[in-house]
Amino acid sequence: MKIVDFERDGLTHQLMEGMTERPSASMNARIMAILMKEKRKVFVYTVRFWLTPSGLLTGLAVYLLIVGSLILGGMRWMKGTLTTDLPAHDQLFPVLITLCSGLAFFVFFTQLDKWLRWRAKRAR
Amino acid sequence: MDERQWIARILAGDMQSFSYLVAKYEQMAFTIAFRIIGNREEAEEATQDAFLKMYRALPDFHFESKFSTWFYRIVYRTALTALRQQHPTVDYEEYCTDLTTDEMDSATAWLERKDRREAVARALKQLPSDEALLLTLFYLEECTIEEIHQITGYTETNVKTKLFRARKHLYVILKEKMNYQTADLL
Repeated sequence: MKIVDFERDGLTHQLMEGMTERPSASMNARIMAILMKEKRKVFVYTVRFWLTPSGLLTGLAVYLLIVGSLILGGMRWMKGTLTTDLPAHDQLFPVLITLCSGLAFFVFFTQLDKWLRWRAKRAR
Repeated sequence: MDERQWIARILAGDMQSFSYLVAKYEQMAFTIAFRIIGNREEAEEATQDAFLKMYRALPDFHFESKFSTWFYRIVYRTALTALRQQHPTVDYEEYCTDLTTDEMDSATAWLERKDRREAVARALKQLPSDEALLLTLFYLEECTIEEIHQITGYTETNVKTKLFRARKHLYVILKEKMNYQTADLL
């Protein structure tokens, strides 16, 4: 070529101007829809995990640990701060823990029953 | 808002920010894929895949390079994979002639014509995909030689050689078109 490279570069620049290709208008929406669908899948998987016996047992154990430590902590705090001696405080702990664990076991067995029914239905 | 903030927001779960990122890069990503694949539908699919791959790989991106360079590398690889699945590459018949000053003048006049875009688009389609891609990255996206090296994996010398060859090929094809379309000008 007889033209100097600089000029040719300028010309190529001019030639290439506006040569961007445009995808269809719906591409952005399609990509976002796929991503949202993927996110939903992860959510469904998480929910399913919590509905399995192992998930439920883990949930129950975590719940009992948290509730137990909260009640115990509360009781100790009350003993340390209240000046009047209330003997009922000592008896309150077993009552509360029984109530909370009773509720937890109720939820656990209801969900377990639900899961077993769902599995039996799926097997049919 | 700069890209770092956008990416931080996406990583925090803000999907709207990702949609902005898609809007910003979709045209260039599609152009890269289209230059490689040469088919609009398949290029769109490859671009879509590239965006999804980018989204999943975003936590591993730590700004070692420009975000656009990193993303275009993903687009490039995705498009190459799609091309390999599509059909074998077509050989380009190499031939070169020089442009005269007269031809350059008429080229400048021709540049202003309405049908320039279609003609250049057709010429780019006739070029081997790697050459069309390099022209796009260098002249359209104004990537540096170093960035093109990062995107394509070609050595910098190779990029320069290919760019030089690509320009020559583009001019040869356009010259043929000009001879045909603007014979009276030459």
